[in-house]
Amino acid sequence: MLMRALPLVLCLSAATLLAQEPPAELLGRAWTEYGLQAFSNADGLFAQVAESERASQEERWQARMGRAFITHYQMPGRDPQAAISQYEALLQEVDERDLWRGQILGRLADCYMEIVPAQVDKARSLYEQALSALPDDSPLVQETMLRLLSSYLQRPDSEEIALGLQSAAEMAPRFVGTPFASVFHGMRAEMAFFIGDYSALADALDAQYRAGISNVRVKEVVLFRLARINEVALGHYDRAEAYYRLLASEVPSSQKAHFATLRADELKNGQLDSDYAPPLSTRVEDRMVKEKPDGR
Amino acid sequence: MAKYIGMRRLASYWRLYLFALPAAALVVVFSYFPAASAIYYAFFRWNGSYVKEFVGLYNFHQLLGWSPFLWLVMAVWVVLMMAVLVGRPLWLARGAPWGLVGLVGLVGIALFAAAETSTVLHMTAGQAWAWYSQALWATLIGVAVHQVFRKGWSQWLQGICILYGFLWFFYQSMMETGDQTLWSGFGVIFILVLANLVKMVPSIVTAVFIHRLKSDRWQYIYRVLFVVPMIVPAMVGLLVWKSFYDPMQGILNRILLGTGFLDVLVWVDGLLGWDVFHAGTNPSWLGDASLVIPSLIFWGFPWVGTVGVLIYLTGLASIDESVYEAADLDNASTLQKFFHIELPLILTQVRINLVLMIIGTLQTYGQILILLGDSGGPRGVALVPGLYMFRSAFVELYAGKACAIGLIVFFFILILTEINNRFVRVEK
Amino acid sequence: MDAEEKTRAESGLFDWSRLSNYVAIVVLVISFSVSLWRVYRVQEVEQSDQVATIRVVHWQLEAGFREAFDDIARRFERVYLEETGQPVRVVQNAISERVYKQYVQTQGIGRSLPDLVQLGREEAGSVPRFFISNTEDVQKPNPYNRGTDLEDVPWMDTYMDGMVGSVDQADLEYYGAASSTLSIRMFYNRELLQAAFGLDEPPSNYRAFLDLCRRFGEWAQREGRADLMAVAASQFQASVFRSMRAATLLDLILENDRDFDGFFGGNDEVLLAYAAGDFDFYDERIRADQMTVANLTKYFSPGFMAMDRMEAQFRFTQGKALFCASGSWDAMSFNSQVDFPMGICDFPYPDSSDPEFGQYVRGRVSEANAPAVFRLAVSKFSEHPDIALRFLQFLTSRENNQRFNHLSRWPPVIKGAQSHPLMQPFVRKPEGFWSGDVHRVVGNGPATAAFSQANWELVEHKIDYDGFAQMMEDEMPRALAQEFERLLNTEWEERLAQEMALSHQLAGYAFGKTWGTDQPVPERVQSKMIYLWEMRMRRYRNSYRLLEWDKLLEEGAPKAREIQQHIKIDLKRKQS
Repeated sequence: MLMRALPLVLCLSAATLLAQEPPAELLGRAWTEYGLQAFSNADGLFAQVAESERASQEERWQARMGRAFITHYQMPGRDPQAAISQYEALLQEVDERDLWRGQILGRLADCYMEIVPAQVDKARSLYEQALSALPDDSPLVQETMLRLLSSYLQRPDSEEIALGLQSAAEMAPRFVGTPFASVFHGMRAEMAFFIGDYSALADALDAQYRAGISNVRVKEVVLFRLARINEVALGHYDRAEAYYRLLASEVPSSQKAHFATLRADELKNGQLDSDYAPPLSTRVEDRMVKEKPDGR
Repeated sequence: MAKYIGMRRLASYWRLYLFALPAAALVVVFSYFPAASAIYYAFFRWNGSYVKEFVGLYNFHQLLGWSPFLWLVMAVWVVLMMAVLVGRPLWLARGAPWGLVGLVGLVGIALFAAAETSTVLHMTAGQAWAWYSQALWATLIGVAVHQVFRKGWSQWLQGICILYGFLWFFYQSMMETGDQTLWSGFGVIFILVLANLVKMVPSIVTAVFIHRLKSDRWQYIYRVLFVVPMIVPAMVGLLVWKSFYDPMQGILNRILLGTGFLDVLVWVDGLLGWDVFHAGTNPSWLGDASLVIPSLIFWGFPWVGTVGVLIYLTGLASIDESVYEAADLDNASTLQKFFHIELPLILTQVRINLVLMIIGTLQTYGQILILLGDSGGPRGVALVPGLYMFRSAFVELYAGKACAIGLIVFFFILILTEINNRFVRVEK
Repeated sequence: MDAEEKTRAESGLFDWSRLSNYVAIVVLVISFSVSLWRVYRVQEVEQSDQVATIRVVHWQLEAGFREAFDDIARRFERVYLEETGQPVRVVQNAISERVYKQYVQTQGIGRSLPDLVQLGREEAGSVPRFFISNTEDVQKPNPYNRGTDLEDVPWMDTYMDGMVGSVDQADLEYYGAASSTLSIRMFYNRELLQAAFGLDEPPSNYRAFLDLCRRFGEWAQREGRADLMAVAASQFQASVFRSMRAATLLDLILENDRDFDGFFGGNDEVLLAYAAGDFDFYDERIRADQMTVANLTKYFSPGFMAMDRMEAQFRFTQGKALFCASGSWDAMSFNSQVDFPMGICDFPYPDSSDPEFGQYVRGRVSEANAPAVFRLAVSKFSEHPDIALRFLQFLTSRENNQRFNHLSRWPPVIKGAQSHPLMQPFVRKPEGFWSGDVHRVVGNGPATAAFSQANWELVEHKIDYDGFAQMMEDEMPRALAQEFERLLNTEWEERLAQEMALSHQLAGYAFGKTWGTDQPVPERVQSKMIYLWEMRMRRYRNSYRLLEWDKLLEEGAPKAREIQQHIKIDLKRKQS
C-alpha cells in the first residue's frame, strides 16, 4: 500500500514545491524550456503561472502568451490557426495597454501570414495596427516594420514587390541609427533584386553594409554582391574595386578573398576584361534596369 | 486444445494474463507501435524530426504514379487473372481467359491512342508498342495454347504466361508513371528471389546427404561442423566476401587468373558482346554495374545455410525407417527415394523456409549497404526497396516517403505469402 | 549413477568428472569479480575527494593523438597545482566514432556526461541542452597567453578563423574551443618514387603527374609487380579528389550567378539556369570540371568506388601504392604504420597552359575557410566547470596549442602557432578560388543521386564524358521537378524553424526583465535577433523563384516545360 502511494506522494510534493516557486522564476524556466524546444515542459510551467493566484495580471498574460507561442511555433505540430484564437482571447483582455496590444497584434499578423493559404492583406492590416499600438520608442517597432515589409515578399507578384519598395522608402527614416537598420536595408535589397532593379539593389546593399553586419558570412555575401553588381551591372569600376578590397581585408576567411584582391588590382589597372571575371550571361543582363557606366 | 477463458471468469484467471502481460506489452511497444507509426507517417511529409505536414496520398502518388484509369485496368486484369488461375468464381472463370485477351486488346488500343498526347505517359506510339507487346503476346499465347490442348501442362503454361503478361505490364506501368528507382529495385528483388529459390537446393541436398550417412557419429560431427560457423557474425561474413571481391587482391580474381578461367570469360564476352570482361583487366565485381547483380547472387557460395540444413535434418529425422525399407523392397533408386519420400515429407519445412526467404529477400538491404554503400552501387543498380527506404529516410531525409515504401513492401510480402500458402500445398 | 561412477564411488577415488560441471561457473565468477574490482578501482580513483578529476571524451583514435593529449594533460596538472595548490587529474576516454553520437545523447539524457566532450557528432539542437556556453569567456583574453603578443587579445580573436565554428546555430552562443584545423593532401611513397623514377618529389604539374602515374604502371608491369598501383583509392578518396579539384567552373558560376553572391550550385540558380537552357551537361566547362578528376582516376586502384577508405589506406601503408589522399588527421597514423620513407605533397593542378583544360582553369581551390576541429565543450553536469574551462584555455594558448599539435601532428589553429615540420605541407593555402556542384539544388536530393550514379560510371571509365552528360540530361528533368518541390518546402520550413528561434528572442526582448534568475542580457538578445534576421533574409526567395519560373514557362523554355510535366503539386499553394 505504501509502495503504491509513494509515487503519488512524490508527485504531490514536487508539485507543491513548484507551486511555491515565484511566478517570475517559473516564467524564466518556462521560457528557457521553450528555447530548448522542450515544449511540453514549457507548457506545463506556463499553465502553472497562468493558474497561479500569486501571479500578477501581466505574469498571467505572459504565461498565456507563452502557451500561444507554443501552439504557434512548436515543430513539429505548429498550428497558427489554433494560435489565432488564443491570441484573440488574450487581446480581449489586454485592452488598450499598448505594448501588450502591439505584441499580440504582431503575432496575430504572423499567424495570418503562415496559414495556408496566407491572408496577406489581413496580416498587413494587423501589422499596421500593431505599429500604431506600440510605443514609438520601443525597439519592437522596427522589428514589426520588418515583418510588415516581409509580407511584400510573400506572393510571387512584381507589382506587390514594387509596392513593398515604396513602403520601405517611407519607413526608412524610422530605421536610421537603429540596431535593425542593416536588416531593413537587406530586405530592401531583396525586393530590389526580385524586380531586377540593380541600382536600387546596390544602394540597399551599401546601406546594409554601412549600418553594420554582425554575421561574417552575410558580410562576405554583401560585399561580394556589391563588388560584382557595381562591376558588371552598373559599370562603377572604382566602387567595385573598393568593395573587392573591403572583402579581402574584412573577410580574410572567405574563399573569395584572393579573387577579390586579383580583380581589384585588375580594375585599378584599367583591365576591364579579365580571365577572372567573365561577362554576365545575356539572360541576366537583359533583365537589368541599366545605368550608364562611368566613362573609362 | 487450449482452454477457453471467457471475460466473466477473467477475475479468477487474472494471474495468467498478468504473466503474459509483459511479453505482450513488449511486442506492442517494439513491434506493433513502430509498424503503426510507420503507417501513420506514410501520409505525412516528415523529415524524421521537426517537419511534419499531412500530405494525404502524395507519397503514394509519387511512388505508384497516379492514373486512375491505369489502376482500374490493372484491378480488372487482376480479377480476371485470378479467376483463370484459381478457377473461381465459376461464372467468371469460364469466360475469363477470353475476357483477359479482350481486356489486353482494349488496353493496347487505348495506349496507342494516348501515347503521343498523354501527360501521364511520356512516350511515343513506338515506345508504347515495345512496352506493351510482351504482355499482349504472353497472354494471347498462353490462352490460345490451353484452348487448343486442354491438358494439365497447357493449363500450367497458360497460368505462367498470363502471370508473366500481367507482371510485365504492371512493372512497365510503374516504371513509366511511378518512381523508377523503387520499381527497378523490385525488379532486382525479383531476380534475387529466383536466385534464392535455386540457392535453397544445396541446403536440402546437404541435409539429405547427412541424413543418409550410416554412422550416427559422423552425422553428429557434420551437424557440429555446420553449426560452428554460426558463431561468426554475419557482418564479418559480409566483410570477408567483400574482400573476396576485391579486384586486385581478392581470392575470386586470383583463382580466375590462376586457373586461366578469366581468359575463358574474356573469350565468351567477345562472343556474346557483354563488354564486361576485358583482357588484362581484373573484373571489378562490386564496381561494375553489369557484375553487381551476379556478385550478389554468387555471394554465399556454396549456399549451404546452417539454419536451413538443420531445419531440413529435423524434418528428415522424423521419417520412419520402415518407409525406406518399403522403398528398398520396391527397388527404388536414390533419386526416387528423394523425390517420392524425402522431399514430400520435408515440404512443410521447405514451405516455411520459402516464406522466410521471400520475406527476407524483400526486406534485404543490410548486405547491399555494406557491400555497395547507400547509393546501391554503380548506377544504383542494386538499390533495392529496403535500401531505397533507408536512403530516403536517412540520406534524403524523406522519412514519410520511406514509410510509404515500407507499406508497399509490406503489401508485396503479404500477397506473396498468401500465394505461397495457397499454391505450395503440403499433401498430408 | 552409471557403472563408471559407481565404481569410482566404491573404490573411494575422487570423481574428477563432477568438477567439470563447475568449471564454467567458476570461470564466470572469477571474470565477474575481476571486472568488478577493475571498475571499482577506476571509480575510486576518479571519485577521490582529494583530487579533482576532469574527464574528457572524444572520438580521435588516430595514432599519436591520445599521447599528445596526455602530455598536455600532465602539463596542465603541474601548472594548475603551482597556480592554485590544488591537485587535479585529467583523464581522457576515446570512444569509437560510430557510436559516439549515441554515447553523447544517452549520457546527456542520463546527466552523466564527462566534464569535457568533443562536439561535432551530437544531435542537432542538443548542444544548449547539455553544455555550458562560454560566450562571455571568449570575449576576454586567454590568461595562458600572458607574456605574448596575444596577451590582451580576446580569446576568440587568437583563432585563425575567429572561432566562428564554435557558434551553435540553435541559440547563437559560443560553445567550447577547437584545438586544431585540418587540410587534405596526398601522401606518397618516396621509396617507390625513387625506385621507379629516381625522384624525391612528385611533379606538381597536372600533366606531368598523369604521365608519372602512367609510367609507374608500365614500370610496375616490367618489374613483375602487377600488384602495385599509382593511387590507392576508394569512394572516399574519389570524393576528396573532387573536393580539391581545380576551379574550372568559375566562369560558369559568375556568368549564371543571378544574385551576384558568388555561389552557384546547391541553390535555386542551378534549377533556374538549367531550366532556362543557360547551361547543360555538355558544357565544356563542366566537362573540364569532371574530367580533371576522371583523368586521374584512370590510375586509381581498380574498382575503387566500391571500396572502403580503410582498404585504400591499408594498400598504401602496405607499400602497394605510390599515392594516397587523406587529411591531416591521418598523418601520424600513416607515419607510424609505414615502413618506407613517406612524403606529403599537394594535389596536382592544371595551369593555363594545359592543352585540355587550360582555357577554363583558374587555379586551385582556396583553403581560406578551413574548419577548426577537435572542439571540446564543458558539459552542464561537470562538477568542476571552472577547472574544465581553464584546461580549455590552457590547451588553446599559443604555446600549448603549438606543442599539442606538434606531438599529435595536426595543424594548429591559434595565430602564430607553428606546425611540426612533417605537417608543413598541410599549412592551408588561402590563395585560390572556389567551385560549385552544378548538379545540386538542396542537400542530397534526387539530382545528387542522379549525379552520383553517373559520376560513378564516369570515374570508373565505364562511360565517356558524353555518356555521363547523356545520363545527366536524361535524369535531370524528373530529378529537378522533385528538387523544385523540395526546395520550396525546405525554404518554407527553414523559415518557420528560424521563426521559432526568433520567437524565443522576441519573448526575451519583450519580457526578459521579468524572468527572475533566467533573465537574458538585453544586448545579447538584440544581437541574436539581428543575427537571425540576417540569416533569414534569403528565406524569402520562394516568390522570386516562382516569378522566374512563370517567366520561363511563358517564354516556352523547352526544359522548363519538360520539368513542369513532372511536377505533381501546386507549387504556389503556400505562397497565395
